[in-house]
Amino acid sequence: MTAVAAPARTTTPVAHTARRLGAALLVMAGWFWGIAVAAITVANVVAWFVNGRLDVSIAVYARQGSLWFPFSLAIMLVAAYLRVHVAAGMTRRTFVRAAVLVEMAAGLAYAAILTAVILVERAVHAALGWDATITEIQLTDESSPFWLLFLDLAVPFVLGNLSGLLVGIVYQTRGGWWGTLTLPLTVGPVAVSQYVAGARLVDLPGVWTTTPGGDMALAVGIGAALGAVMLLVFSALTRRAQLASNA
Amino acid sequence: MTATTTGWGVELQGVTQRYGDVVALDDVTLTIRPGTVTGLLGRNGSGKSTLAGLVAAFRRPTAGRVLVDGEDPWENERVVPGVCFVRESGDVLDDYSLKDNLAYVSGARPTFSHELAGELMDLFELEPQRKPSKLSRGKKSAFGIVLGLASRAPLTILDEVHLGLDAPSRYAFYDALLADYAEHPRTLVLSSHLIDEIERLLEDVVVLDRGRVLVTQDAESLRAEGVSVTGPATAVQEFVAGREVLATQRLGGTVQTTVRGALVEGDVRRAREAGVELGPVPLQDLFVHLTDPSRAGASASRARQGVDR
Repeated sequence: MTAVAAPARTTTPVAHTARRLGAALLVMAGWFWGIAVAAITVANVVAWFVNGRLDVSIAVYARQGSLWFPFSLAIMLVAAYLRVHVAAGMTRRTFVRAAVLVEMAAGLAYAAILTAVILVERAVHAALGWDATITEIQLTDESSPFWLLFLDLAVPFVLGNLSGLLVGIVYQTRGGWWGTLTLPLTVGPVAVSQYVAGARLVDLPGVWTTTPGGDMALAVGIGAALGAVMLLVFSALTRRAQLASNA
Repeated sequence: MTATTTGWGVELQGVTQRYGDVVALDDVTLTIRPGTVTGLLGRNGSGKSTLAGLVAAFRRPTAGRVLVDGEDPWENERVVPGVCFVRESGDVLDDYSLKDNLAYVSGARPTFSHELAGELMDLFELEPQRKPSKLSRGKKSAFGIVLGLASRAPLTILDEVHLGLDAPSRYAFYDALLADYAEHPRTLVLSSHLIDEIERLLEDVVVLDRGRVLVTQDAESLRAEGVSVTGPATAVQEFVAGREVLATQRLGGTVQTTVRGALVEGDVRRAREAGVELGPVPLQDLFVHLTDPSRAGASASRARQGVDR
């Protein structure tokens, strides 16, 4: 008889689903970071050979990839898993909880990994007597402590993943036209989190922050508010999702 | 976990389902008895899959109520793990192995039997490492059957799951279903166009036509509503004169005619004297007759005339 191993019994459908989704994202993250780290290393070496020195951070350019790659995975996650989840005898509610949990964790993990890569690159540059200037538009610069760098990356990454879920469910439940027409609303918050804070919103009259920590607190606050709205909309749409009776 | 489950009943009360202008189900009221094997029959587009989708909480009806084991299944944490709806095309993770798919489904189904899953995987010669996207249509169907039966859900709905299966595999499926049903009674709803193959399994029958319920009845009493008459053409013709003929098959001088209506006193004696044999009515003939569009058109026409008068 074919051995079909019994999986460890999960306590709840949320935990069971989160484990499955997490495993799927982990595999993709392995590929992504393997390629990203190799590309960053090669770019550094090439620049070194060409210029003799390199005073900008190459790793920080992975910020866009680290945002939009998991964003696209979140879209696919909704498309691939929601129908199967319901067919396996679980509620949409548990899918929402598991998907949000996993995607927020993924956003934080990507931010942590990229922060680590940037810091390692910064240390290598420093050891070679080079600078590691950050030329991307963001709140932090090369002198920022690691926790500010982490938060600066984590806010758009988490929002990006929530946005991916939102885009996925709108396309799935409302079709291509609505999915496309609502992109400014579903993806807009990510652009806001990515650029508005970096574009010195915090310097506008009436905005009270004057320190890097204060700026970041404002960015995190805006991100949290946008994230909460996206999460509520994703939850409401998913819990009402009608699945095709004919697959 | 191989806990024996008892079946769950289903009740639809005035259920209507619209897709835009299309009415897939029109004011459907019916009951599926718990612990039975019920055939859900109907022509293409009659609303079978829509009905099953509502029961499995894939959709909410436009109007009316759906109750499974006495409760609305929509987002119902108690009910949905006990409703297993397997569709012909399968709701599986296409890019993961069958083994991964089994692990995913079994983790969500409290009554899932790994032992039965293993037996069925062997029976249908499915390799656990293969991915659904790489399987033939028949093998995909077979995997749907594995999930459907091994889940041992109190309410299992199998919608055209035999498509693509060769005849030996289909009969192996029917045998496996009966054997497991006998050991673990539950409610099974089978939707199929191969009525002659599944009719021996059915205890109850629901026939849908254009989104409406034509028949909801136990299979025995439905079969008793007709009779097959076999014998020489002339004798059969005389015997069935004045009865509602559902179907006729000829083989040389021998004719088998299916007529609707129960036998009355003296029919058996008259048949013996006429040299014709009486037998049970094939469900398929009844189904074809009931869902014949020309018959439906004639009925509608008669109804209109009745109104005009």
